[in-house]
Amino acid sequence: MSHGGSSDGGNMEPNLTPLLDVVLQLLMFFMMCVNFVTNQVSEDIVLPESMSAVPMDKSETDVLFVNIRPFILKDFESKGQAALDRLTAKFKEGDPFIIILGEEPMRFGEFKFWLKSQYQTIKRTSKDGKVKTSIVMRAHRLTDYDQVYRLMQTCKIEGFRQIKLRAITKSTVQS
Amino acid sequence: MSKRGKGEPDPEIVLPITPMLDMAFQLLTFFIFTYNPSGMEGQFDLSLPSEAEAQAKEMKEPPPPSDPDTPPKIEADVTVVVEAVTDDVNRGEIAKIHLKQNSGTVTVGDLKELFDKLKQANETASEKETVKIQPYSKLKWSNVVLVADTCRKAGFKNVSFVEPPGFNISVVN
Repeated sequence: MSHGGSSDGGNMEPNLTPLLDVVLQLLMFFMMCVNFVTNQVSEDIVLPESMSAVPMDKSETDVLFVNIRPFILKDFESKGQAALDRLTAKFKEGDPFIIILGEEPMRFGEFKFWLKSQYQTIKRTSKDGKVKTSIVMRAHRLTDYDQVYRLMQTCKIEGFRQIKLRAITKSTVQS
Repeated sequence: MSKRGKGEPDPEIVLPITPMLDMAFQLLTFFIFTYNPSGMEGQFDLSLPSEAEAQAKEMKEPPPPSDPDTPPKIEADVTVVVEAVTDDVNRGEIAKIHLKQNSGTVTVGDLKELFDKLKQANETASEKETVKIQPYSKLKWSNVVLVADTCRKAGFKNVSFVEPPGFNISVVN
């Protein structure tokens, strides 16, 4: 088998084009895998695992994300002293802590008020005057059941018809 | 501006691949280091008591009378009551599980036993697809989801959550 080589022995540059192709493909893979959904949900929530959770319908865009967890002081220590002081002035250990992205953490009373105003805004801007927005509820695995139930009932009372509960599908849970 | 003559060969255009490759490697390194494949989020359907019931509860008024033309809502035969541990060490864990049926109430020790009993209950229940879960207030949400999973695995497709004993929605936190 003959190996070709330049007869003048001068130009020995490796062919970088296939390498670049592979690198760009890998790059594209990692860029696609960036989870853009995380900007809508809170990273402070650790969801429970469920075998019966089904994959999300990504075509559904008319949703309101509501995150709930108990206020546990040590989980928020990394947020800085100023933020911690603000939180501890408002929440006691174990209090329901409702997180809506773009809003200050809420208690139930504030959440109810916020939800009511959201409902009215959606209704006013809706073409047919109907509210078809779903509530996507992301409850932390350590939340007490009565807090989750209170949240669900509040949503129903304020007029939202569809509530979806989020969980981590068990087949994909990492060991 | 110079023009090539007819007989001259085209000049060889050399793309600077090396800096492009450098940049691609740097981007690749960034994405590899920040790649954090989180578990896939899913969701499950939820059945709640009717809106009228919820409103009535808040306003402390009885629910409005139902329309005589609409068929009566079929209630579930099977209710799973889950008690929670209240001590400081295991607070929120499952203490006891009671399976309420028309024939009576049985207490089961763990989720595996609950699954077996639910399988039996599913064969005899008139409303085969519906089960109610009534967890105690302080039960952790992850345990509620585990019980709901067990019910679905046993053949009950419609799992509805009912209010915990002693629950009062008008209490503002």
